[in-house]
Amino acid sequence: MQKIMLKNPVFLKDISIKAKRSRMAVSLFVINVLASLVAIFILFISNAGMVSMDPMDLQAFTWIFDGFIIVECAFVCLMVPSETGPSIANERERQTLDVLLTTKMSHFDIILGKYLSSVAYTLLLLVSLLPFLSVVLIYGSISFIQLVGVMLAVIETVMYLSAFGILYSTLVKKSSRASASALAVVFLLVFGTIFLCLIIHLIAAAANSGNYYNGRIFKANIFNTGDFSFFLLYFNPATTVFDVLDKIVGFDIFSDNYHGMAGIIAETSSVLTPDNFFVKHWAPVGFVVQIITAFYMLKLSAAKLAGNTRRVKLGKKNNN
Amino acid sequence: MLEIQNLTKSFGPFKALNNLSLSVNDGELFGFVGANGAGKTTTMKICVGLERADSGSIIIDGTEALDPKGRSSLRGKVGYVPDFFGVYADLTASEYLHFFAGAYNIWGRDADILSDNLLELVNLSDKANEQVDSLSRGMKQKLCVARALVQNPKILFLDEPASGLDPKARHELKEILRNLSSMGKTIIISSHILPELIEMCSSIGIINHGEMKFNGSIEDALALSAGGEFIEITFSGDPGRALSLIKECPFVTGAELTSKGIRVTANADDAEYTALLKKLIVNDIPVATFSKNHENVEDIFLNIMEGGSTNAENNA
Ligand SMILES: Nc1ncnc2c1ncn2[C@@H]1O[C@H](COP(=O)(O)OP(=O)(O)OP(=O)(O)O)[C@@H](O)[C@H]1O
Ligand SMILES: [Mg+2]
Repeated sequence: MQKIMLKNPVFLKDISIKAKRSRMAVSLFVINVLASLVAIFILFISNAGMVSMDPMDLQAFTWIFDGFIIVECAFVCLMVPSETGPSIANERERQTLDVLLTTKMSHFDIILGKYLSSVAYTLLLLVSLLPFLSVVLIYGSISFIQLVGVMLAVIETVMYLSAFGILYSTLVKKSSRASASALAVVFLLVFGTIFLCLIIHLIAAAANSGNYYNGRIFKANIFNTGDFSFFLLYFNPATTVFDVLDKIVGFDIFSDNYHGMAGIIAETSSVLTPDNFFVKHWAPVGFVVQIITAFYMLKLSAAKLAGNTRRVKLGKKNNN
Repeated sequence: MLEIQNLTKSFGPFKALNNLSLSVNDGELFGFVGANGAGKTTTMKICVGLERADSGSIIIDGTEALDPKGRSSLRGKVGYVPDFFGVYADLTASEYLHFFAGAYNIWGRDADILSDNLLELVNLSDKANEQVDSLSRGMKQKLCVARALVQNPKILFLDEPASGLDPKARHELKEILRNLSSMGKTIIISSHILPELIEMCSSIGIINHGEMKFNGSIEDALALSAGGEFIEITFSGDPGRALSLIKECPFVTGAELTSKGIRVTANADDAEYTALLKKLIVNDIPVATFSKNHENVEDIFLNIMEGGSTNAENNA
């Protein structure tokens, strides 16, 4: 991986351009200051620096941590489209893409460079939020391992969503419209999949309307057609992050059994039990699904990069 | 070095290139001339692999460029400067060249040396650490030429490199291209400004509506229009019967009214012209000026463009 990044001119160029832009310095600074202010405020309201061992206080911190991760994920959902949307579209607008396409770089290398620099930049902004997280660590309510686990889930989400952003940046000619399209796709992934899942359940329920009023039978009958739609939610990054968060930190809004997605699914389905492999290991399976999807999005982007020239087959040039 | 045969390309129903054939020899500085929309950019894009051709063949340095395998083996041999400035705003000139060196797998010390050499070649050494943004149009264009040389190509395609440059920048660019040519590179320059190309090119191709109208040396092109001599007569009053009087002369091959007066083409020597002038004056025609002119280069090429295909190789 390191070799890919250090030998990818597009990645190196984009990172150096991004680093130079004042935008980066300013946004890093603002985010840091805001995060630190929030941290100081929390320290202040919770007995100014006294390390509390009261379980109630610790649970409050868990809630704050959960809330913080949700805010961070929302930030990721907005940041990723605005970061990836312009990446290819900008090169097309500036007409630098043509020149890039005549070099020895393969189309996939160009896409990968763009992708990795966008991911790296977004992660860099997330890292700047760490001062705030350190407060939760200091108070001992979240362990370092827990923090790493949740962070990995967030990083995976950035990688997943960025691939969609890159695809739209390749398909849509104008960078502003590419960003908007990527944002729309993020919303579809986060909310659309849930909606679709519900619709499928409703249709399945309607098909079994004879049993509609009986809650128990309702559950049993719709499984055949409806319950598989739960697996659609693998494509929803919110479910994987929630699964991780609930299992290793505890997120007790939907359920208080800390079973993650298994907890939610078991409540609505009597057939998909929490012991079902795919339900039990929701996050790992979801990550695999999402990373494979991301990879295919990047492959597709590489194939669409040259637009009307169809140089896909010509682009098979290795860059070693 | 470059041999294009029967290249055809359509955009929908519109035929941008129609059986276009042209050849450029090794080490030649080739001028590719045509009006706006004639198909110069399309031809070049197909040559460098940015556009697909419908049919035809392009042999570059013995390799078929339209074949996918040939295309990838040509990537290091072909340089391309598009008709726009493909420069990144937030890089310095040196970083810009380093970036493209990386795109050709040239890194570290090699890239440093290459970047320095190329900047020196295009007289931009003193601008190495300046933002590309702050460079003038001419400097950007020179930087683009330097960029196209990163992979040390054998053949260089430059699409309207001189457009928008002032005479001084243009002259400098010309010097750079001559220099490159003397280094043995084959260079193809497109332009719609003819005199500009005539000064530096060894041969030219003229394209009109996607068809080759002429392909050969500058001398051949000028020879083709050697009969471009004419007499222009202007009048201080009503020319009256002038036109019919002129047409009566046996040596006159053509005479027509123009906005200024009358334009006469003839197969005549100076004595016969004197006779013609005398005849007009004797007949009380109010002649103001009577002058022998040559068609200018632009007109010559306009004629070639509008006429049929006059391929020098076929004529020879
Ligand atoms: N992508 C495209 N889609 C449709 N038509 C195109 C496309 N590219 C070029 N054309 C058409 O093909 C013709 C040739 O265009 P081309 O750009 O090759 O001309 P040119 O000789 O380079 O002209 P100019 O001097 O203006 O640069 C034009 O009529 C143009 O409208
Ligand atoms: Mg053009």
